[in-house]
Amino acid sequence: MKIVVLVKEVPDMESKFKIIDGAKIDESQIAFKMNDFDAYAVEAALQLKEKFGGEVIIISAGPDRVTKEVRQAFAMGADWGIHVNDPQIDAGDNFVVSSALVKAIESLGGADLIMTGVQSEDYQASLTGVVIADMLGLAHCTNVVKIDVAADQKTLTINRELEGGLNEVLEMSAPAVLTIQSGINEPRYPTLPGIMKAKKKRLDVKKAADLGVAELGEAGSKTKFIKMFFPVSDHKAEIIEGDAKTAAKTLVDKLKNEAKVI
Amino acid sequence: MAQRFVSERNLKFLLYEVFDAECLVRYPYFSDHSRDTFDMVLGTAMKLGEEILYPAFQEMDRKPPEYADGAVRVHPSVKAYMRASGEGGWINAMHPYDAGGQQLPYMVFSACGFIFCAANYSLSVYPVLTAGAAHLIETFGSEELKRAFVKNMHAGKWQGTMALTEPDAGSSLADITTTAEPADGYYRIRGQKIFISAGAHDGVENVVHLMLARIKGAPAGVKGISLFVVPQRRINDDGMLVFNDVTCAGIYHKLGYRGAPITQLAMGDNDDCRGFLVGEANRGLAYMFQMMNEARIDVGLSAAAIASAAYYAALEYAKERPQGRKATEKDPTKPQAPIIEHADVKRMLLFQRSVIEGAFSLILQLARYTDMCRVTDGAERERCELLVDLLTPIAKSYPAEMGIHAVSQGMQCLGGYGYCDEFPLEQYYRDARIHPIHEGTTGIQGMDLLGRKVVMKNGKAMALYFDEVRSTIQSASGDDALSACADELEAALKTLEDVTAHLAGIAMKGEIELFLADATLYLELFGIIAIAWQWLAQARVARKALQGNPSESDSNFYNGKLAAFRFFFAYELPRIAGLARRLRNSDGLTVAMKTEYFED
Ligand SMILES: Cc1cc2nc3c(=O)[nH]c(=O)nc-3n(C[C@H](O)[C@H](O)[C@H](O)COP(=O)(O)OP(=O)(O)OC[C@H]3O[C@@H](n4cnc5c(N)ncnc54)[C@H](O)[C@@H]3O)c2cc1C
Repeated sequence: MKIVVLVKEVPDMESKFKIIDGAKIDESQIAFKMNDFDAYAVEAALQLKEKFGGEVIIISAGPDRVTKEVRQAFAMGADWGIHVNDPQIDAGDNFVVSSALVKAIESLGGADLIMTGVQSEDYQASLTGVVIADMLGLAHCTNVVKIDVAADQKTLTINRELEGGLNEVLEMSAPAVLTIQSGINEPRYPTLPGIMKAKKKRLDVKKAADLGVAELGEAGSKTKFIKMFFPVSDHKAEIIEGDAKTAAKTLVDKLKNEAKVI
Repeated sequence: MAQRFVSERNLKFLLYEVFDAECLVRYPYFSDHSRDTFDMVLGTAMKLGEEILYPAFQEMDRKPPEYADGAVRVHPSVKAYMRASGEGGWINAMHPYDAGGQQLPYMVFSACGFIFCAANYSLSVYPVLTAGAAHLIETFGSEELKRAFVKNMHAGKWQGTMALTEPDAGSSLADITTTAEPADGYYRIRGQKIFISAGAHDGVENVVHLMLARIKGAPAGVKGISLFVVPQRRINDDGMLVFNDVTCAGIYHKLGYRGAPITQLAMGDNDDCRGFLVGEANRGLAYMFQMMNEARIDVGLSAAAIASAAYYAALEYAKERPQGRKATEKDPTKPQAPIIEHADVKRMLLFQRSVIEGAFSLILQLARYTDMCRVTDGAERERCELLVDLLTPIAKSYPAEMGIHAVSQGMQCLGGYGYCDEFPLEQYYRDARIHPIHEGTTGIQGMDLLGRKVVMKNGKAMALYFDEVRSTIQSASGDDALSACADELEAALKTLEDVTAHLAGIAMKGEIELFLADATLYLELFGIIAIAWQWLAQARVARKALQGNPSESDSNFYNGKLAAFRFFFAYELPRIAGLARRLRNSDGLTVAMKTEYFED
């Protein structure tokens, strides 16, 4: 099977987040890593390749440092990849990035399966897989927790996770787009031989122009970014100072007049 | 989030900024590597540490191995980790490609080892023991032995051990009595071994002992010791694994490091234990020393790593525990301050860092020399080998002894909770205590350093070491902020030279017992100075980095480094004065002490 996995780089959520000019995160203080959900997608793809043969191709959009995450997927066993590296694309919204990814997939002549993580840990839009399926005119399924591919390599039986601990089972046929939920498998650790091989695997770098992407930057976006901020919590705790007697008095007063609960 | 047990930032600082691991890739042997591969290897090690090793850390202590009917049941994560280590290529990572390895530099591998040991020392030892044992077979064994054993060991399917100790032969290996009688294509082994780590367990299919024994009729003492491969189960003519008459007679219940069993082994109860000679007869101890030297550095690494885990647990607690107020705060209604704001708690934390980061730096220094041995030859290679030889007892003993003090101070930061098992400090304290004992006690290391290493090749290694330290002193003395400490280190070197000359004088007079009586103190003195050297080297890099307008978090990091560096010079280095004073006084107090006087 020819399987494409879309991999995104995200900040390590243990990092200290600082916002610059209300517009973007201060990246100098941040460590980056592969989006956890995408690691599950890579593993799912590798398992299918082990069963049916074929190849696993990684596509990732982002700046230079993204190669680290692509090579991580190579070290796990993926075959080769495309790095969509163009600041004009990175400056766009989900629609722009998805359009570029679609062009990259088309440049491969399509694929039997396209997999993404169900969402990215940072933006949590859960959009990329769905938008891409729409643009490519393919069937899609989100929140995937189990994939069975029949011997014909076309018929897919998919379990989706629903709220309330439920699963539903759907049948669909390849080519299709699947967005993978965490817990579907245990992503393998890169092996040391895998890491050494990863360095030598083919990684094509593509700019917007190479791919023929027309929608770029803010102009190509369907949404307009306004600002980014840390929400201030409305719930504040107050420590009432003073000895027990005065503090109790203040408390009763506040409960009566401010909170109006007594 | 898992409890933090190491600082990746610090590992990378030492690897890349202090020891310039990237420079290795200029040599053809390491040329397939790059900063990217090193980072990916470290990142994978962190994942294994966080996801496999650390989660089993406490449970392996609470549910130690169980012995029943000759079998030892260990925690299920042993099997999982041995498998992950084998499949991941970790057991033979440093080997050349043609031997199935990845030619990973020892420096990078050491940083990974530090992560594994800090995450869960007990679990970390299984593949490390296997690697050492396999390496012995590869280096000295016949092709047939290699074919029969190495593959499964590298795959993590078979455990390797080093089986030296016997009831009457611990520090004194010359006294081993296990015998080997030549038979048809093998030797019949009879005897007993004790304290053999991972000597039997159900996390693997087979255990391969690298065992010291005497061939019948061999000369007495170390000259009659040979090395054998003695599998727990041998391969019969049909390629099946069958019982090789190695019985596990029991396991010991120990203070810490409880996740790994130490076993008592009986060989030849049915007169059917087969051993296979490795290399030449009667050269066993020399061969074994290859493994022991690696193992000794590894002990130092583990000791520093356990102390690192203890430090991060103590740090987290100190930031969160409100207790008392600043000495200047007189208002009792004001909230209590987190204990990290008290100078005495800061002293304890700085002490831990100065020990851990100083010790680990020395380990990496040795790893760097070892990597250079691989890619150089002639005089430069000899230089690196001599430095590794000389410094091995220090790299083992300083972290082993001082690691215990560091963990103890970590426990102290937690007060009463440090002593209770809701927090990991008490376990780290117990786990750390093994290190001055195994792989040669501190006493044995002291005698090795003073009695052999310092004088070997007419003091050549020692002279090379002084050159190394002086070159660091020189490069730091141009920086106003470091020059005072550079001068102090120079003075410390003079003290060491002085003390060494004094002791050599005693040796020349033939008073060997007196010469070696305080070898442990000499080792301590030498160790403190070696760590001061490492701190000066780190401080130099931190100072340079601070001049380059670093980000806020980097600036905090480098300033933290400089604080730990100054702490070491202010609080630890001065301890050499007392040691030197004692070492210069050769009154023979301990030599003269009579056994009878100890009574009552
Ligand atoms: C947890 C653990 C794991 C171990 N794993 C292994 C293993 O895998 N394989 C293996 O072969 N062994 C192993 N050992 C054994 C270990 O290496 C020995 O315990 C150690 O070498 C000390 O030997 P001993 O216990 O006989 O003590 P002894 O040699 O009896 O020493 C007791 C004390 O006397 C001192 N002493 C001894 N001789 C002298 C001397 N000549 N001059 C001055 N002082 C002296 C020592 O420094 C020490 O303080 C392990 C031990 C433990 C506790």
